Amino acid sequence: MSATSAMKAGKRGADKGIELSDRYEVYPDQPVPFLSSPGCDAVAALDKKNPSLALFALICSRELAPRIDAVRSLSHVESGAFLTPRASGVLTQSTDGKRKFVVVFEQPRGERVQADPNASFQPLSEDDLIRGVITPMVSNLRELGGRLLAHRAIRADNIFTSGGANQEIILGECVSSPAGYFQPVIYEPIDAGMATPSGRGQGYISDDFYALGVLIAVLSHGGNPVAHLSDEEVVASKIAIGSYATLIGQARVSLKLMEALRGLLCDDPAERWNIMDLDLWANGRHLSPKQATLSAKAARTFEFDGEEYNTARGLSFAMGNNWPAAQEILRDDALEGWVRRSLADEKCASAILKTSRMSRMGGEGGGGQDKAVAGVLTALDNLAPVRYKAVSARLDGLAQALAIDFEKDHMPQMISEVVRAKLHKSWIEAQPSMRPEFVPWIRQADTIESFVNRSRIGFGPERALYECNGTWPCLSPLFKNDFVSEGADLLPALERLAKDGPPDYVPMDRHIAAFCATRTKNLSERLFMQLAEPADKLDYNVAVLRLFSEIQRTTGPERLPNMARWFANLLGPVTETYHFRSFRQQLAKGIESATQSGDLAELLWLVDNENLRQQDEVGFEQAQREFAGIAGQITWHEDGALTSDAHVAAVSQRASAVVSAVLASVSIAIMSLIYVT
Amino acid sequence: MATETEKSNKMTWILLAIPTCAVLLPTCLLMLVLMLPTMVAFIVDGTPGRKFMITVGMMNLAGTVPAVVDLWGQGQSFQASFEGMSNVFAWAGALTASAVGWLIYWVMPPIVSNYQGIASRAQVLSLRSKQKKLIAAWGDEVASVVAEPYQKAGAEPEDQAEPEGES
Repeated sequence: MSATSAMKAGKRGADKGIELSDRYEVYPDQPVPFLSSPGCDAVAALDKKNPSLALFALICSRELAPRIDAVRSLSHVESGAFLTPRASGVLTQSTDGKRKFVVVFEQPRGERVQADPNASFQPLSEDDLIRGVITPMVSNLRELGGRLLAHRAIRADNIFTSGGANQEIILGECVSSPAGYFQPVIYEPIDAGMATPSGRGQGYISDDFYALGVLIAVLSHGGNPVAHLSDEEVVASKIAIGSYATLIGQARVSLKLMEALRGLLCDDPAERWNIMDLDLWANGRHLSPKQATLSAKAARTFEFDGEEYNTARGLSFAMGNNWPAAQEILRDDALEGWVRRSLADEKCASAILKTSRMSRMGGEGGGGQDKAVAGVLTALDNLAPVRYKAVSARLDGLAQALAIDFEKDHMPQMISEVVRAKLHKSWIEAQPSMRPEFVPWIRQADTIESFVNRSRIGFGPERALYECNGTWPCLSPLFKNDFVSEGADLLPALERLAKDGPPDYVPMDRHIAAFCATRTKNLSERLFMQLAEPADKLDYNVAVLRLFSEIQRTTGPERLPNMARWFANLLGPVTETYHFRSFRQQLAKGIESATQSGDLAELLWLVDNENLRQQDEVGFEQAQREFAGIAGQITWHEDGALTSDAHVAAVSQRASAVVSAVLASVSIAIMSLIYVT
Repeated sequence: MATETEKSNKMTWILLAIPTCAVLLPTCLLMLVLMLPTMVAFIVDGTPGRKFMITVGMMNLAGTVPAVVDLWGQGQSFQASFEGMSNVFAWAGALTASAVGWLIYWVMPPIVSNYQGIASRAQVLSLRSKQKKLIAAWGDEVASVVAEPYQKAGAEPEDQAEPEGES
């Protein structure tokens, strides 16, 4: 507690902070380490209207983007038991000029209950748990449920003591990183624990109730009760004996608390306690939670990779973690025989037989074998996430996995293969019943499929990323020092890039094109076709300018002088494509004028003026013909055509006749005058 | 067709000449004799359009005018016509004038040749200036395409599409 007090507002005001939303100041050079969230550094912040209030700001990363939709949803929530965002926005760090998304929170008065996920602490008594933890958490979960938002960061190292006589905890923030990404596996239900952190998805409120159950177990134990187990072992144990048995085991728990723990840690989401059950329990009603049925045990075990497995779910989990060995298993019908005879699951056995035989008919290599493994894994455990090679994601987590793992080797390719192979549809078909929450996720997977099947710029996995992750920032390498999450932010970000002089590259890549297509409304597809099929480099640059001028028209800003200068440099050679020097001079003047006004549309009109180009072409052809004619005349003269004997003879004969006629006429006239007078 | 037209023209001239000669017979006889150099020129002239004959003939005609005026002054009689034919001064005038015609025809080629050489060089300079203006306006590319050269060997400029400004 003393550390907290020492840090609070200690150095604020010493230096000028960076202004945010006209009301707050953020101090990036004044870290507050004990309030940092995974992946985000905490720094001091100040409310200018209320300087006595202790605030802090989390500086979010672009790669593990914050939940901007959750920030918006929670920004107006006033809760004493929950850290809710007071302000958010993008600011420029004065030290390195990088622009980061920051979220401002009020500092909790107490400290973290658990300093880090592996730390031990004094176990909480039942009374403290019920009064200090469960009661405020019920209020928090009700608030979140009302907003259809899952917190996905309920864990012991993300709750704070209230710091006063009141021993109620304060729930930490949940917006600074993707939902569930930093949750330790023990806090995740079995399916989310099987998924990779990136593939856990936005999750459901039932995941938060599960995490609350784990939180109670951790707090009552004084630390992680399964710290001796690896993540895989935790999941395997939850599959084998259930979450309650794994986390509580033989520990002594009061009957009242046991009731809540059994309800919250139920592995069947449909049977898991919800807010009503928790309310009833808190009000003294005794409920007897149903326990999820454990997987059927086989009469004899199945050996996989040196280990013996007696449940289909356990085997499926192990196979998903060892893809090459899983491929080997499908070379014969041993697995199908085991499922049919030892588990007596005819439906699953038939599905495995069908899938593995189709794979064998397809021969070695190719995607068929991988697809078969994925199919078999789903047949063995239809509650598990969709798994395909390194991909392991809940259906609602496919899009988020695509975003988080986009830069990882082959991940976009693998997720593309998942949707192309329609593994999401196979997963749905394997479910015992169709649930309403599946519908948006099926639609999302279909969206991914529709875009990854089109490789053109403006489409592909990049487009799927931005279409399915509505607030994910643009991952273009050009914006590695920026945070661009809205269509209207794009051009100002490019304007900043060109602030110190126009770069020599074209401000376009697959990410930017896909981002534009998604985040700017009413852009014609023709603009992207022109990007995809340029006649030459100059044509490509003009197509990029055309796209950006359309965006400037739609979203502003009105003046982009640096960008205009950038494109003027890139498109300078366009003036050289005109033949007529006068046109070139007019264009150069016009481009300079457009650059100063920062109007990309005007610049485009100048460099892409079909009428002027046609005039130039026609005029040039005429000039060429005229030049050729003159060249012919010169040759004619230089070849001595006028001074040739024949020509001279002909001209001199004519001239003689004329001179003679004139002379004779004059003579006769003079003689006539003499005779007459 | 053309031959018939020419024959018709000749016939017209002959029909007009016969009454004229009948009325002005002494004058015609005198001129026929004094225009002897022109007849010689007609015989030796091989130029298209008989320019040599025209040159000599015009001057020869001017040279016969004093003799014809004398004839008309004496009443245009055959007597006066024959006297004119035997007049040394009449012959001297006709022959001298014809000689001037010959002289004009003889000195004209070198004069014309020099003039054409100077004109040709001036024309080339003017054309090159035009080309420079085109290059200044359209760039060097305008010279990249050159039209078919004019026919060179044995070309008669009159028969070609004669360049602008040709004399």
